[in-house]
Amino acid sequence: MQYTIQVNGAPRPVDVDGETPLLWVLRDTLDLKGTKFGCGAAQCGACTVHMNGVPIRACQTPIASVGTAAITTIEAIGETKVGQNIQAAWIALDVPQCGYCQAGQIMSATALITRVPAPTDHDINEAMSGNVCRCATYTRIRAAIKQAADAGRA
Amino acid sequence: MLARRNFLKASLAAGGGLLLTATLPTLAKAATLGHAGPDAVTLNAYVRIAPDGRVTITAKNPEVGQGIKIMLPMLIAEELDVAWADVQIEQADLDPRYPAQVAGGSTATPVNWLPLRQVGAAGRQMLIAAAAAEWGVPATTCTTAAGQVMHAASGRSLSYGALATKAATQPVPDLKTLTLKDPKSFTIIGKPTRNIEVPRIVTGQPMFGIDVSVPGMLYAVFQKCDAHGGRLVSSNVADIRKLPGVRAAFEVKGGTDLRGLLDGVAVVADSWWQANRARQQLQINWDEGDIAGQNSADFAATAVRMSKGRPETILRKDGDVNEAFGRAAHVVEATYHYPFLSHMDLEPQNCTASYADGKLEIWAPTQNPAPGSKLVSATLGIPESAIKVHMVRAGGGFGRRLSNDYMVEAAWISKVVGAPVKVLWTREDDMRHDFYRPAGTHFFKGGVDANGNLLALADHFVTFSQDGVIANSADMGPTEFPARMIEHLEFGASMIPLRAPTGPMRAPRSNGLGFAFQSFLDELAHAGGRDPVDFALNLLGKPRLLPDPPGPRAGPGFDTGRMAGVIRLVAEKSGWGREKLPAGTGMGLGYYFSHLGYFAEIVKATVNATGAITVDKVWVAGDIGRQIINPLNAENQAQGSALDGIGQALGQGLHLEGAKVVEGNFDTVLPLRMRQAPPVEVHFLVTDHPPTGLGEPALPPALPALTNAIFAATGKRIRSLPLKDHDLSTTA
Amino acid sequence: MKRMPLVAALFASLAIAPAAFAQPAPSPTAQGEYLARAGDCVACHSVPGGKAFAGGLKMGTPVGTITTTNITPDIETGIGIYTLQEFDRAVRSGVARDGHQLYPAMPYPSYAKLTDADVQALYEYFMRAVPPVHQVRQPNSIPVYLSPRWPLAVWNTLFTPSLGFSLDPERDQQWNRGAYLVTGLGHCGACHTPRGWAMQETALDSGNASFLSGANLDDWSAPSLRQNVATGLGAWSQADIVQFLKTGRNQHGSAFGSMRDVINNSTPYLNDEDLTAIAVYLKSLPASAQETAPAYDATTAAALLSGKAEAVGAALYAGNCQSCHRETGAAAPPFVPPLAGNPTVVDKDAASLINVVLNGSGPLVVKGKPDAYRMPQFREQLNDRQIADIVTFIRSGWGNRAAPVAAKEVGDLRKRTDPTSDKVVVLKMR
Ligand code: FES
Ligand code: FES
Repeated sequence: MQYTIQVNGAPRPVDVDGETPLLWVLRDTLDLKGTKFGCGAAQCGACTVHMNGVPIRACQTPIASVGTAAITTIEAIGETKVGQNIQAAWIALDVPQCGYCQAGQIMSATALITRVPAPTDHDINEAMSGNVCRCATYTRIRAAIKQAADAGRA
Repeated sequence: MLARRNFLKASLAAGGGLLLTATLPTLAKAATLGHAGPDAVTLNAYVRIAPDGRVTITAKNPEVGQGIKIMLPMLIAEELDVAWADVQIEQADLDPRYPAQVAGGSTATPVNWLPLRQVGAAGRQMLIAAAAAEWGVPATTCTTAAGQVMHAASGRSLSYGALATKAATQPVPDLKTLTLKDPKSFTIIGKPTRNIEVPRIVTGQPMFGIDVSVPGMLYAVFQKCDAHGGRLVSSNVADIRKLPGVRAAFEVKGGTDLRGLLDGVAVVADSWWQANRARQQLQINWDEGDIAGQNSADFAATAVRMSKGRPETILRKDGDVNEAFGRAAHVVEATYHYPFLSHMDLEPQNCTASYADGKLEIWAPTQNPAPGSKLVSATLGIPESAIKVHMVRAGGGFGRRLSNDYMVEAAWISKVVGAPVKVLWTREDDMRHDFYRPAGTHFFKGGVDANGNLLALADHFVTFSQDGVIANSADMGPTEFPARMIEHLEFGASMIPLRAPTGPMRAPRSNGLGFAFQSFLDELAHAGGRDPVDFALNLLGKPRLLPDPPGPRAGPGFDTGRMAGVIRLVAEKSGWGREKLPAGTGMGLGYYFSHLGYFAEIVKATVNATGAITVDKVWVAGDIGRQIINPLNAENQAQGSALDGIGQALGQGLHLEGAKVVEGNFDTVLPLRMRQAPPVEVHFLVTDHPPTGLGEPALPPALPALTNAIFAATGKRIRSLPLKDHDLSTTA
Repeated sequence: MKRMPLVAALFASLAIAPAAFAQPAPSPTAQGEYLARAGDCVACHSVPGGKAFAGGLKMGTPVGTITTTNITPDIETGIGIYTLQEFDRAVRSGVARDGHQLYPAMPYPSYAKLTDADVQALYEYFMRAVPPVHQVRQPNSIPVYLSPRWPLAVWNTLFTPSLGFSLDPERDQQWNRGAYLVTGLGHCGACHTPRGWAMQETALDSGNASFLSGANLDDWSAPSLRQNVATGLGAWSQADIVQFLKTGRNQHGSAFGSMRDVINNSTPYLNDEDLTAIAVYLKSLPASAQETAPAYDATTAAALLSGKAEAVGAALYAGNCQSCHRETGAAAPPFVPPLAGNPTVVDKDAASLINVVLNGSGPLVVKGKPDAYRMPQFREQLNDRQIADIVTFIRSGWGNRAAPVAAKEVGDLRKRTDPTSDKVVVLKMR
């Protein structure tokens, strides 16, 4: 099936079966490898992207359901101010260990701060608990979210 | 020196079977391989210097998140005396010029600490020699700083960039004559240093094994028998070939070594999704072999039965435990159990291989590429000289990627289809085909005297054997704490035959033993009415070094003073015993020596009426010697290790049924999540001992610290993991 | 072949064989296989990984566990020595060859409606096409004081109508074909019709308003298949029903729980005419209750998006469910089922909803192809209170109007149910 999805601001025609998860269209068809595969079951958040600004799990999003929604991936999250602040905080605090989960973490964190500019610990817990970090860099992720939020309000 | 060499040899044997005896000569050789490149000059196998002074340093070890890609070049850059900002880092391939290309056993620091600094110092000396020759001054009158050689008397200086070509022709210095920097003058080592890969990570650049892309690459999945070691009888593979996108589907006849290529069906398609969808329609008849008794429930029953008899093997016998129990004021008997665990690297196993004209190129997120290359060579019948292995950043390792089963699968499938192939496992594949942290059951008996001091301890450890020998990482040594601390002690072990493969997982052995022993010691402290910190310090006694018994695993021994030091530090930092905690909240202590690191941890946890556990905070105190190479990463690793332990304790455990692992994804084995992750405060006790590694030793104390905190909070003793299987509610 | 005259005589006395139902079957065994699919015999008479029709499945009933029988033509352990007459007695009257009464877990009250020709085709299929499997049946675990089967004869006289299917002359052939499939082989009522005091289905055909009005069996609440606008098929078109039976999913929802067996083994194998007939028949069943059609309410999505939704369970929904079912509750049908306006979600009985959150859903396998998206289980991740809150939120969000759920209900279900496996199970017909 032919679909044209909107990825990072550009229309991208793809020819895949309608059941194909957005994750594999992004990674293998469009060669956007930043979005990661961890569980394939909406349990780890490694595949988090934004659909119209809302974080979704690309592994559980059939391409047939995407329509004309604006998809944003880690490759383009730095084009927003919030995304930049998040990335800068991640670098400043040296958050990652293996780094595999971090694209998903950043997508969830960006959506959080966009919605809640000054998140509490509770907000962070709720928004970020769908993103597993197997290396358990949670302490720094939390700190980096707060630092990015502060930067956004400065 | 001899002692140090022995110790290196020993510590490495645990992490991958590498030997230092081979290490130093190879390093010396690597330092002599200087030759001029097209623009940048190659000073030795590790260092290339461009005319503009930029220095490229090779990171020789696999990066799995432990930060080695930064840390090893830091050692070289320090002694080379360049500005860190001028350093670029390049990942090495598997290359015989580099020794010990392995990530395991927290060995990289002790193994490389001296030699890699020598590599840098040798380079510096060659640069000095070049400058001295240029200026016609004695080398001893030249100094260096930040990529410059200086001659103070004449006020002259030359950049490394300008000197590189000449330096490469200088004789390679004798490593023994090199003087290394005084640590006081370190400008890189010991400074918080950011991971230079983070900018690429946060922008989603392709860098992991799963991201590798080779022109013409196809995607493959490989279905093996979930009953470990089962053999393929027949399949509907012919039907699978007709499915959309499928380029090839074929049966593979593998061997019997679970670490190698196994029986299965490979499905190769234009996209991974198509390959995996086609694979889901496979119908395979397996010969699962003898699966009798290969169930978690049977293992539990067998362990209890075994505990009633004498242990099959006596690991240690000191004094007379029974006599001591007879005069003990309190005798406690308890059974502790920890489950099988999967490593759960967040990046599922994968590998890309390209076979053409008898040559094989492999991109593998592996912790241990050398055995992988050998395995591929032996399985495919291709000489190792025709195999090139690129080490690709791995999304977690934790010991899983010390095995290279995914590598041989990719190589085999690529050879069959004659095209580059990326093999990628699903999460379920990953969880059901792991080298599991073995479960274990300890039948303890302990006695304390009227003063609450430990008098005697006995453990009948029921563990697992594989093919008649102790299963990988399922053993226990005769020096397991509190051995050597008390007069009357007996360790025995019995083994249940196991089919599932086992292997090292972050802090192998210690990750389970730490929980069992440290929980039971806490139980004994309480039985004798002693504060657990006092009890521990009293047990450790006066500071002394207890040498290891001779043998292949002999290390530098156990320093009771260092252990006591971190216990005191963590007690002080956590405010242990100084505040009255609210009902339902408690603090627990765990301490453990492993992988040459001394760690003590205290967890504060709260259990509410519904039984929900909140881990409020973790304090970590560690002693890994006189030098923390990269404090920024050290803190991250220690926090991650402690939280890894907390996550295991809270929610992880696998069940076997009919030789198969039941669980398959994160809905049944629960990784730690943000809402469960407490703050972790890390303190290092700097002592005058050689620097040691950090990837593992901070993990083992976290589990008992948590379960002991739960005891303090609720009075309920946790004797099995994970905690999710316990009902801690106080309401009906 | 020698038996034929006798059998024909028997059938003549039993029921009409409407000419309309004479299928253009290529061969009796192929026709029999088709009917065995329609009846989903394999689902109960096999175990995952076992041989088809060799029995052995343990079925929990209120009086104990029944182990299903071996219905392969094995002489010793199966039905190899059954004559057509004996086979017929078992299928349509629930009496085994030795004269003992079968437990009504075998849906013979429904199968009583089968035509003679269909019984014969089934017989031909089982005798000739199914390979015999030597597999001795495990005993039932019905307590001794309940086990004499004679009360079952009483049960039969009370609850099993002795007559077969009768055509409704007021309706067309298509409707009648649908009625025949739904009330007969399809035995839909076994799950979807409420059962009475003695576990009997309270109605066996459309003559009674309780027929297919929704029921709870084995901790799965089977929704109403009548035209109830909220909790039934009132909002489903004929095409929706056909798509659901063919693929296990449509724009309104996905099959899970015990309906998974039906999709995995039965309805996708039926031809379009039969599926359409079933849909026509179901669409003709009037609503059993006056309901207002759910009106979509967008405030739930807005609240979830704000990150400050305050409704009970909203935060838990956001953290655990929203990434697939979305803040809109509309999800991505037919792949991921919507929650807004889904009849199962607003069913008075929340058992299925609780069950699927607790235990997840195993793969739907349509003609050997498993589905691409799977509901994970949450029993390990969430406690009773949390699941109750989530279910309550789902049942009252987006305009859904169903009663809240108590933690105790979740706790009870947790104890009684097991998690589903993610492993693909294909029950093979041969
Ligand atoms: S890969 Fe999508 S949530 Fe894990
Ligand atoms: S950094 Fe490794 S999984 Fe998060």
